Amino acid sequence: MTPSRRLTPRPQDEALTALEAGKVGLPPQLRDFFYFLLQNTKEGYFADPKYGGNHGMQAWVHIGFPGAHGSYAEWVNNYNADYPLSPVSISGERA
Amino acid sequence: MAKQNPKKDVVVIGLGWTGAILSMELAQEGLEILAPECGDDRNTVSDFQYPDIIDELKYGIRYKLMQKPSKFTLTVRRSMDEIARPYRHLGSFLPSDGVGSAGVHWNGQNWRPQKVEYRLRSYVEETFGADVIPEGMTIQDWSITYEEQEPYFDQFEKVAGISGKVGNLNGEIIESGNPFEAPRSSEYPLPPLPHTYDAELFRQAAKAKGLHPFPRPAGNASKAYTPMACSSNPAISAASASGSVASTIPSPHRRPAFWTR
Repeated sequence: MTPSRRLTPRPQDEALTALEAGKVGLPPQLRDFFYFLLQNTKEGYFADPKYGGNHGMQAWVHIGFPGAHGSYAEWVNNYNADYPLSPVSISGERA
Repeated sequence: MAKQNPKKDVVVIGLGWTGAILSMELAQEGLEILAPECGDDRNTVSDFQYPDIIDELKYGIRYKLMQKPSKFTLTVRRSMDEIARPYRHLGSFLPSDGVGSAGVHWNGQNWRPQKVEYRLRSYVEETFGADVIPEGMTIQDWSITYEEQEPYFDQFEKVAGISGKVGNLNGEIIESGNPFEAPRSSEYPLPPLPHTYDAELFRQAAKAKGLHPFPRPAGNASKAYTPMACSSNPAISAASASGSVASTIPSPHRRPAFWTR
């Protein structure tokens, strides 16, 4: 299969759609390839930046996830208040 | 040639909830213990310290503290016609491994039985008549009573660091706790977890209906808590983004007369 980054967006989408639909004719041991590709893509996008994705915590900024702050206990019964702090990663970087 | 180790008084297989608490009590009696444990050894520090422990991908998604289906799994089928296939990814239940085992990741609710549950057959017969129990139904009374077990529930709650609010203290009903519970000899060792917004709305609505909402007896430490036998880490419950986790590691293996491998 052609590496998808050599394709333009539309053929990329077509290739992924075909993979998802099981129409690519992969050997049996690669049956779950699309499932893992999708799962790992989501993980890379949303996991802590230590795993190599979520550059600058931009995925967390985008969805409003505050990341690895030490404690949220004091916010549990502070109802409907906006959390004021920007995301922090496990390594201590701030976004 | 097989290696011969000096004999110990007791061998305890596995250092989960049961093995670790049992070992702690035996060690306190002065016995020497050998405890084979197939999983990793663990310490509150550094294995459960912030920030590494709140790595959601490692623990929440990839289940680092749980048994690995690649090493040991079980098969499941949903009907007699299906072929039972091995679980490759844990889901509905999470068997853990290593020292502490389920005690390091449980976020359980620690309910005590109702008094009536100890004499269920008698209760059903008295309330609905003996003829409602079909022949062959094995419903029975227990041979022990709630009163006999109460001191041990009390002790376990103090070992595990259960968070809650007493509703029946030696027969006295306490408004903010569970008024339906069997009498307790003491308050919970930790105060109840704070109400999240949805829980608070539910509490208010139930209260307005004349019902009796109360906080659940939670296996999550609401405050820092270090019982004699354990180390417990409330920072984990406070910090986990994917759901709270309380960590209780009974630690007999920190005692001198103890060997684990």
